[in-house]
This record gives sequence, structure tokens and C-alpha cells, in this order.
Amino acid sequence: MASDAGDFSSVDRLVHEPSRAVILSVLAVVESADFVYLKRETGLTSGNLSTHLSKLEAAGYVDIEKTYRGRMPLTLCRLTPEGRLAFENYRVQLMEFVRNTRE
Amino acid sequence: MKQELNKSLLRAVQYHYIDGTFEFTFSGLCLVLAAFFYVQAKLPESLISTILMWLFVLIIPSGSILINRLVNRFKEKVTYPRTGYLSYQKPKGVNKAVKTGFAMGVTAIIGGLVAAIITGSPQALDWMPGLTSFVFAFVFAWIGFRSSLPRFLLLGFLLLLSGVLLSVTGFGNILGLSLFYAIAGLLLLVSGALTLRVYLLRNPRDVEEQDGF
Repeated sequence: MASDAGDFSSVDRLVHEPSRAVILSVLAVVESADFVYLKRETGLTSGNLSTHLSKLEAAGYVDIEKTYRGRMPLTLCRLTPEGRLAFENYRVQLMEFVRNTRE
Repeated sequence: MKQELNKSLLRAVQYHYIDGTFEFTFSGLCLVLAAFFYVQAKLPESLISTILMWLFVLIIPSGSILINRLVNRFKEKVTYPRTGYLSYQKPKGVNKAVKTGFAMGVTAIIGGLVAAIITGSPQALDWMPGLTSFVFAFVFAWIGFRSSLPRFLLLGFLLLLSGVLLSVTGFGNILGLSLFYAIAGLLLLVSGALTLRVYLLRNPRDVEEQDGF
């Protein structure tokens, strides 16, 4: 049990945060999504979503493209290969942890 | 987490059908085909019928392009500002080849079956609305199961029912096909309009989401 907990303690802390994990789970199944779609899917406020996206972008997990649709600002987000790998590793670690700690 | 990911995928798939534009697209094509077959049935030897016959190969692709453009325009004006923009992952490599091969295989099997039935018995032509409705029902059932949206299962059932009823009641092949496509077009139009109405009620313009990044 201690070693399971030990393995799991090496989990990527950036991904291991509920809001960011949800953002990554949404982006993992699409090519790209805009800010409005992410806000709707995650249920986060604009401020929270911006903060989490900035952290994910700084880590190189999410690529953010700021553009315009007509005169409206458009923020397009997509997972980078590093972000996809980090999320996949996180899922594997989480599933491993659950499997090893099953009663 | 796997469950969460599946849920994200399902919601992304459902988002494609959220505003009824899919039904409008399909409805437009069906109504064009209904008009085409109606002219073929009512004016079989006319000049317009001959011209339309020659243009048939252009009707589907050009109609699809035109309707696609209209749908994109509509989504840019109505859907994306309200509930956001999403682009889907395109199948790559082996996955793309398998999907293309599957689509071609199904088309070849259906085409072969229809050709075999018609060659074996010319009266089988009377069953063209029924056969077409079977293909439609299969497509809509697949979409319904894939997206977990029951309205597509209902549409598939209604289309199958109308195609079989047209065949049983003895409408000739071409006129029957025209009627089938007209019914399909109207059913899809109604479904699309109801879906759009629900979407607009749930996402009114005054609470339009803003890009706040």
C-alpha cells in the first residue's frame, strides 16, 4: 500500500487538479475547442478557466491561439503532443492506483 | 477517468447535432432528390427530365457543397457565439483507411444487393422506397446509437415505416421514391426545426457566452 501511494505521489501535479484534468479531458477528444465551448463544458468561470489555461499553456500542455471571428475575439485551444502524453500518463497512473488499492 | 473521457467524447459527438443543422442538411438533399424523382416520374421523356438525368451526378456533390456552406454560415452566426466552436479529430493513417474501406464496402454491398434484386425481378423495383428506407433507417440508427440521441432512432423508425408503407401500397418505383424523399425531407425539416427551437430556448442571445480569455 505504501509503495502504491509512493508511485502515485509521482503523479503530474499540474494535471492532478480537478479543473485542469477536466479541461484536458475535454481537449483530449477533439482537435481544438474555443474558450466558450470549454467554459460551457467545464462549468468554470471565465476567470478560473483563463487561469488554468494559462498554467497549462506555460507547461507546454496546451496551445492557445488568439484570433478573431469577424469582430469577435476567438481563443482556440488545442492539446500539444506533450499535453496529450501527460494526460495519458496521468490516466494510466490513476487507473493503476485505483486497481492497486481496490479492496 | 475512462468514463469521464468517454463522456467528453460523447458530448463532443452530441454537440455536432445540437442545433438541428444536421437534419436541415439532410432534409435539403432529400427535397432536391424528391423534386428530381418527381420530374422523372411525371415527365419521363421530357427535355427537363433528360437534362436532370445528365446532371444527376452533379446534384449530390454540388448540393452538398452549397448546403455545407449555408450550414457553416449559420453556425458562425448562431451556434458558435452561443455555445462555442469545436473542431473534431480527423481520422488518420490506418483508422482513416479502415473507415473509408468500411464505407466503400457497405456502399458496394448495398449497391450489389439492389442490382441483384432488380435484375432478378423487375417487380422488385416497386420496393425501391422500402429498400431506400432500410438504408436510411440503418444510417439514422447508427447515428442514434453513436450519439445516444433517441430522436435519430425515432427518425430511422419513421423513415423505415414510410418507405415500407409506400412499397406495400403499390406506389411505382420512381414516384414512390419521390414521395419517400419528400416525406424524409419534411420529417427531417420538422426534427431540425424542433431541435433548433429547443437549442435557442436553452441558449438565448441575451445570455450569449463571451470569449473572456
